[in-house]
Amino acid sequence: MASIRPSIFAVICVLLVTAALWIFYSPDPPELESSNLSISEDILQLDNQNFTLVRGPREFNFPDDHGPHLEFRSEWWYFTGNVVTSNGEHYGYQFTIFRQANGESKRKTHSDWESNQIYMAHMALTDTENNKFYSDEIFARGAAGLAQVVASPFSAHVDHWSATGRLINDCTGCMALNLRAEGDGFAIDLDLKSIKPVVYQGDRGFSQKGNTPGNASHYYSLTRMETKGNISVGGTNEAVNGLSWMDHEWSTSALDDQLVGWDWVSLQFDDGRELMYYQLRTEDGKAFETSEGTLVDEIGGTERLIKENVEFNSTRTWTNPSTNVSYPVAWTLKIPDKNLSLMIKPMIDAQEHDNIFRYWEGAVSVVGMEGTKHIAGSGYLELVGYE
Amino acid sequence: MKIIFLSWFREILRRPTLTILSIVGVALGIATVVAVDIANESAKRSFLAANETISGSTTHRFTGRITDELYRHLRVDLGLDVTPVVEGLIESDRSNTTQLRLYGVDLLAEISASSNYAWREVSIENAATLLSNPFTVLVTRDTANSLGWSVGQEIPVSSADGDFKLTLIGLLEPANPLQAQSLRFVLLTDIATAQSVLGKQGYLSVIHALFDESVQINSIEAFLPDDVYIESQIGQSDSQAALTRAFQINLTALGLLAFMVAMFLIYNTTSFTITRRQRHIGMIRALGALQRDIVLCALLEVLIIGAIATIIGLLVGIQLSTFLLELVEQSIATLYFPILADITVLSFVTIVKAIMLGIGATILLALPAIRKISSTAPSIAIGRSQVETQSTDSGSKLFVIGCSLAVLGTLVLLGNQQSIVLGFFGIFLVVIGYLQLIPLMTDGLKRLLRPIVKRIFGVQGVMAIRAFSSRPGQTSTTIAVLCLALSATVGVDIMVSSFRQTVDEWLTSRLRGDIYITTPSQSDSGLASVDVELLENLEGIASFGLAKWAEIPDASGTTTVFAVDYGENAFNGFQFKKKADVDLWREFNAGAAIVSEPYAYRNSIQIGDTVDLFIGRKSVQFPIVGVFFDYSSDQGIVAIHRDTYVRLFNDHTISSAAIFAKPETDLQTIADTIEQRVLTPRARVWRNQELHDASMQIFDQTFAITYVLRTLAIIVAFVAVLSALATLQIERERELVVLRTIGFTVRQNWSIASFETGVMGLLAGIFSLPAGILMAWLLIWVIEQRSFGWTMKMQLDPLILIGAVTLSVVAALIAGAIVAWRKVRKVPAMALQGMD
Repeated sequence: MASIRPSIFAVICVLLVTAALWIFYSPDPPELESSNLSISEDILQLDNQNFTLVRGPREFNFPDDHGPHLEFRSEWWYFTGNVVTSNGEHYGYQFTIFRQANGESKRKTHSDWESNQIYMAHMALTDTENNKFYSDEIFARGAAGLAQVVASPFSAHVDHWSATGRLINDCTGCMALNLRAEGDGFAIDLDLKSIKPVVYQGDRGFSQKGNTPGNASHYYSLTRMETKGNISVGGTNEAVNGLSWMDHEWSTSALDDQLVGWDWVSLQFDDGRELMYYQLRTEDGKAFETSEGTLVDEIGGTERLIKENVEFNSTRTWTNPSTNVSYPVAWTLKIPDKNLSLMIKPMIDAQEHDNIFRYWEGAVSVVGMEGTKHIAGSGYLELVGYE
Repeated sequence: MKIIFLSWFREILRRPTLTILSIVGVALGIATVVAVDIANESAKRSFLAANETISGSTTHRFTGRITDELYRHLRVDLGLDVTPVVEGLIESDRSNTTQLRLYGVDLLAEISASSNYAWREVSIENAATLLSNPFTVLVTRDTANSLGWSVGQEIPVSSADGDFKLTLIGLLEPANPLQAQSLRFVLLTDIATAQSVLGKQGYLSVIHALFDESVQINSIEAFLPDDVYIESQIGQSDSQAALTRAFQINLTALGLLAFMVAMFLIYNTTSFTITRRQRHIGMIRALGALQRDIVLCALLEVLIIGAIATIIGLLVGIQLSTFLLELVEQSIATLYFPILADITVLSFVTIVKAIMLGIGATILLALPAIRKISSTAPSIAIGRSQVETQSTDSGSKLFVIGCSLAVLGTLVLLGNQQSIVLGFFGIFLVVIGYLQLIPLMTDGLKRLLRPIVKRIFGVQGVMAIRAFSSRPGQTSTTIAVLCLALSATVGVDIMVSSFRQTVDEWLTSRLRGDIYITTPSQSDSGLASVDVELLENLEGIASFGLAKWAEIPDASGTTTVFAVDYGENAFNGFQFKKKADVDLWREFNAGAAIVSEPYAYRNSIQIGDTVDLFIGRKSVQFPIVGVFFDYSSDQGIVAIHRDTYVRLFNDHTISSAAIFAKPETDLQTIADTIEQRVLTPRARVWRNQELHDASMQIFDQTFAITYVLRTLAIIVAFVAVLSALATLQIERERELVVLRTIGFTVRQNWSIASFETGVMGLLAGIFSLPAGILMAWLLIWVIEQRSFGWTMKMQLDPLILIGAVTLSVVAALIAGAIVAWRKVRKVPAMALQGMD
């Protein structure tokens, strides 16, 4: 019998070894953790027609207007504040409840779970001393008792994150509130009490955002709320006190197509005044004409600030290394008419919410001059629409 | 030294056939083991993945009668990390048997939860879309393709609660095959839709929870309603895994049998590889090679053979496993729930196993032969026969070893009555022990056969028989390999056929009704009361009985309770393994329970014990008056009278009904009438025979993989025999050639060779019968009992036994013929000189 030639034998061996290597080095079976499910296509047409557009000022009526306005598509209750411990350690906090409605479907399930109301809550804590930022978010439907906002007595909750309170006598719309929420590794339990009357933003609470009629919101604020309570971070509890700011805003359609985001700031000065200003940005990064704000005096008197009278410019950007998004975190705000010049700086740079909705919202300090008078204070800055 | 190596390996190339046969033999053994291993591991992984994709990596779960309000309390008031599920099986079409799983979740809660769900990454917009649009679902692309669905399509489905139209609004894009597989035939939907379609408004199927150490389970239990239970999810997945464990153990058993055959095969081939070199070794030693050189060369050769065989074995095994997996999937789907096990998982352990078997075992098994051959004096080695003679007198020693092993095996089997692993080990020892007796038995049978053969076949027959004596070691090893493979197939065959027969008889005895109406076990409501009224008024019915299948909590989980009232005649259909010395029917009516054999086995229950079932938090004790044979559940069931059940549990729902027709009534007419008038959606009407056949069909599906593995074992055995006989015949080549030179014709040599292999096949076949029966007996009494808790009546089907012997003889004859065909035609002079 003919023997196999050594060369052929060698070739076979090489082939076999290659095959073996292929087996040994084939990639590991995929792990389950890396999820990437997505719905390929949204084939549903939502019915926007049923929602009311904001077309002009309204008569506010409390306590009802603290509650939800389901005829409008979106709504939020926004709480931000700067507090300190007895040792003077600073914390900033944010607690927000968003409501977003989808068009109602014609098909009904007869299940208590059915809902077109989606609630989202965000919570953040800035630990200035330790240069740490904590952020968390939760979602729930406005059904089955999982999320709900009730006007009177005021009660808003998304899952177990809640804001509950009552009206304060002899001050229309003023509230005393308790905010309680527990995020991933941090928690707040704060009592807020408004010490100034309701501030109606824009034109009597009518805040025009885009040029298109209806692209507007109803917007009021409680600009100064005494705050005390507890903050816990990483298991340690700290008693704190300071000031909070509450916004309540609702609309069906706000931004024009050309608008990509906004820069919003709320400032509480040590002299008892407050200032809110936002600029809406167009695609080319310019401030849109409807950008505006409000200056609140010591007793709650308001003065509307329009774009022409305000110079609002960023002085420094910060890039989150993990998301690679840059935010203008430091600003100057000047009102030449009033001889007012403010420098706004973040308490810490890293205050980006890197969750499903990504934006920068953080505690800021403010110093400046009004004529020859030094002014200082703290506040919150919100930067939305950066990529 | 170099010269010796060259000479050694030149010898391999000179006779590649033997080397190739050795490689094929070892490779096949490895392939079988690898394939079973992969199939097993992949099935397990798929199972766990399916579990995890759907329930996430949670720590606890709530089951029972969970209200929406309880969930709200847990999540909102207590702030616990919990997520709800409402799930159930639906059908996409009444005629189509594909069961779909409607899985209702709260995607918003899933997104908020810390646990890791497969659909955690579903975008918030899409989650909102699903939520805001009732009766919409998502499926994976695979599922859509295999069901022929497209996005936007309306899908009519039916559930226990009626017919619905669902709209497919998008496709889930799984990140990997594991996910794709575990989401197969799952319709993801919002919880509102699931509640509505499944008729579970106000209630949840399960709450998954991810609790950290700070959560006090006791304090949660304290406020839970009586009919809601919290269980550790880790424990839960354990108990779910336990469902497949029994099945996997059986698969592993078959894998081990293949492993045993492979070991013998390897032993056989390596021994031959070495001993065939005897002459060559003698020559090079005479030329000055050291004993050490010989050992090195032999080891190297075995190592190379082992390595090549390992690689081939792995490759073939991987191919083979995909085929096996399909069957595993089918079996698991039949036994438990639909999963798709089409991912092959080649684990590191499997590769290590293959290497250990292919290289480690090969070298280890070759060592005795190497030792023997290297220590033989050159002069003796060149004259081949004496080496073999030395090994013959170990027959009595083998007998002692064999008996000791068998006794040891028996002791292991008797010593521990519960462990499945020890059960296998015991069986392994007993069978190996038996195989040691083969040389002795071969010798005995040979003596017995010689006079008969001489009379019938003359001198050629005697020569063939005599050939055994020239190398009894090799002959009996070859017979042992064949015998082992055959006995494995005989064993599995007998076991399965006994099981089948037992189940068949059990069904016949148990199914006393003429017509049955059944509802899916997932249905909460069961038969409607209007359907019962229908039965009451139907003509041709002598009587009918009602039953309820219920899952009742007990101390350790849940117990399947069969609350039955089919009448005394049907009750007599229970066959009792043990029973109290009382009137069972009267006791049963009075509130006593009877339990199935697996239940008694798993819970170590005796007659006179009680079974505790929970009604809310209160436990009720039922005295046990009988243990009945039952093969419907390997977890066991407790049967009580339906009246007892209704009285205690206040549950009037009905899962099934048995109908007893009046004599000489046309059953088909009654069945048709019921079918037309029964109002419960998805209720099925069966005639006795239909139900019986359907059950047997499920049985056959379940055991499909067993048949395949048996076939595999036969193939391995065949190759083993082929390689063993080929080696043997090549060794005999010179003898046959001598016969040619002294005047034997080609035809005569042919018949000598064929006769020799035929006799070996016959012997192996005969020897395999007691071994196979023994193995079947052990499998039935040890393994099946231990893993399922089922007693089976062993049935000896003569066809199996005759088949095994025939197979053996035919395989041996074919193997012999293949070898002889080549050898006998050689030119005598050349062959005599050892030239190819």
